Amino acid sequence: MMRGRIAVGYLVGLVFMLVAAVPEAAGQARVKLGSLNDMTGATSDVGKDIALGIREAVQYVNDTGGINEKRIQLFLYDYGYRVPEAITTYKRFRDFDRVVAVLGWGTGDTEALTPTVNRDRMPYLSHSFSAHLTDPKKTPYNFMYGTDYSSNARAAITVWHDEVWQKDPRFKADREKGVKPRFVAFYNWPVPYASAPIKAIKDQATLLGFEIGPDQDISLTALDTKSQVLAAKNFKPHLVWHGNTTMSVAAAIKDSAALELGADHIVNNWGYDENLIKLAGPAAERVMGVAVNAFFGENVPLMDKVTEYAKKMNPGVPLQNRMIRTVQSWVDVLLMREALVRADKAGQLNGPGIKAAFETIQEWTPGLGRPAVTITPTDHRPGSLIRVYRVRGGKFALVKEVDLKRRWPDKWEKEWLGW
Amino acid sequence: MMRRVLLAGGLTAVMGVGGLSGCAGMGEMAAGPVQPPKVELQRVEIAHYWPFYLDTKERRGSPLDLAFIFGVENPNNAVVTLEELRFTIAFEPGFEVNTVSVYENMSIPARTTNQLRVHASFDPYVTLLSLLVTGGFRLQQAGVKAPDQLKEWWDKVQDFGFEIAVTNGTAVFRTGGGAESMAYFQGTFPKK
Repeated sequence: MMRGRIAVGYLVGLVFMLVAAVPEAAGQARVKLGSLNDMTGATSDVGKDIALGIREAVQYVNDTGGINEKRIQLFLYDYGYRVPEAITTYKRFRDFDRVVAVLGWGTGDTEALTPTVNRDRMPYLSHSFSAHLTDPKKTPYNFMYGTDYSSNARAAITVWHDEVWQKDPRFKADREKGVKPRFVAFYNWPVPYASAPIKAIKDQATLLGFEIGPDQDISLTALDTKSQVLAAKNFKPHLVWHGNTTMSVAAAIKDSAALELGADHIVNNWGYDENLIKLAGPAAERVMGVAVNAFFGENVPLMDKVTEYAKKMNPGVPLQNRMIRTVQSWVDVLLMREALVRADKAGQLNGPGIKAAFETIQEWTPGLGRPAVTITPTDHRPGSLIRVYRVRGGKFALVKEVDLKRRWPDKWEKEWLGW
Repeated sequence: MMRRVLLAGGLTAVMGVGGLSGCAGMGEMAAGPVQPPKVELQRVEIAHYWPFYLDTKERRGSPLDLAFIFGVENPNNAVVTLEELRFTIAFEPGFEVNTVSVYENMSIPARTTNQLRVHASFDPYVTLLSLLVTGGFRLQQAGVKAPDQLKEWWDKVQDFGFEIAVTNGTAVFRTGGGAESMAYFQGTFPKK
């Protein structure tokens, strides 16, 4: 009898001991997240800052409660913009790291992985904003945090048409003569990122009454674009679309100025950042482009944390070298957190649960100058409000916001999804 | 009798919890701030080397495998675990050509210096892309063609004839109790 009671005593002690150990175990609960980044390849001009921002934003998330008190464990790898390496790294995420979701990078690799992530039911939030990833009938597990390239392109050419072509005295004579504005596109033809919105921008150019000239193929690594600028000059364009990333966009804009192309320039979001002004110098003046959120250091909610974590986590990188790309990474990570938190609260921290959580996001913004994001089960475009900026005095100034859905509601709903 | 039962339970609890914390560390302190361990680049080794070869049409070139050996010194009276280490590699100051991340856990006993070897592989074609995109304008201003610069590096690296810099290094450590600390590091080889 007494032995039994003593045994009970030991048992109670054992239970107490285990309970005492629980908080430590709970404190180590983790949510694994993969991140594919380009820090050495053809888009590393923008990819390096993105990678820094991802790590900093994840640290912020962990410091502020994680995913319902679970820490994010981040696996961030460079794949050098090589699609085969992206695919092998994805397999590592899936089979060894066993992540619950992936932060992806380029259009080529994201589109190449689409059948795999659908089959694996792996939520994939990419920095690629290719419109091909926005139709959940085809790509149910792909998501993006920035407005898609096709919408960006449509917005940029629309704003230039409305605010420059129709108002600027430089074009008064042409307007009065009934001349159609002439448009050409500079981009790296075989690169999926650069070519993704070309069909859409030409469609929009036609809608707005432009005459379309021959495309010019400019490599993402181009330092000299004179032959392409001279070829475009024969068409006497009023407007050039730049679909590459910052370094080669800067080269093309400088060469356009040096060879007196005489055209205005509009730039997709991955070619339009603080480095463009540094690299292109005075030639960057008046260049217009799209930004999906605030530039680094702008006075918007949460920017104080972005700069604080930039200083704290990467003290070797001077703040003056940081870019809008860091801010994009924060929007990316915070949108992922939102979905993970919702999925976890629903007890569904798995592929289908996270997908469903993304699709409940309505009018959500983390601050940081990101217009509200809405994602639905039938439309993964994260929004229709697009901001178009212009370089003025070496700084970015907002020209106009365009809400494509409001301006062309039928086309937005029935025609433009998915391309 | 009741007193003996309580005593048995109490003793088990005290010994158990004590034992658990003891296991956690043989001196590993519970959660709480720790001094960031010190990470130092000790040397760079050429792990594998092929003479310079670059064929941009076929997008290939000769590999170069550099091993970076770090000393990781734990100044604490507790074990810490290295959970993440990343750094950027620059050939000559300012030409960033690679970024490496490793996530393997490594425990470092109290007041001990461990060594960690991290490999980084280079290829002239891959390095060319990186060089053009982030250092292209600088080379253009200097009147140097990127492939020529690469060849010079591939030739000179046999004798470490240029500076290899580790920049923006960050290492994340954790104690058994979950406290996190970070160390920042940079270094060059050959040492000046």
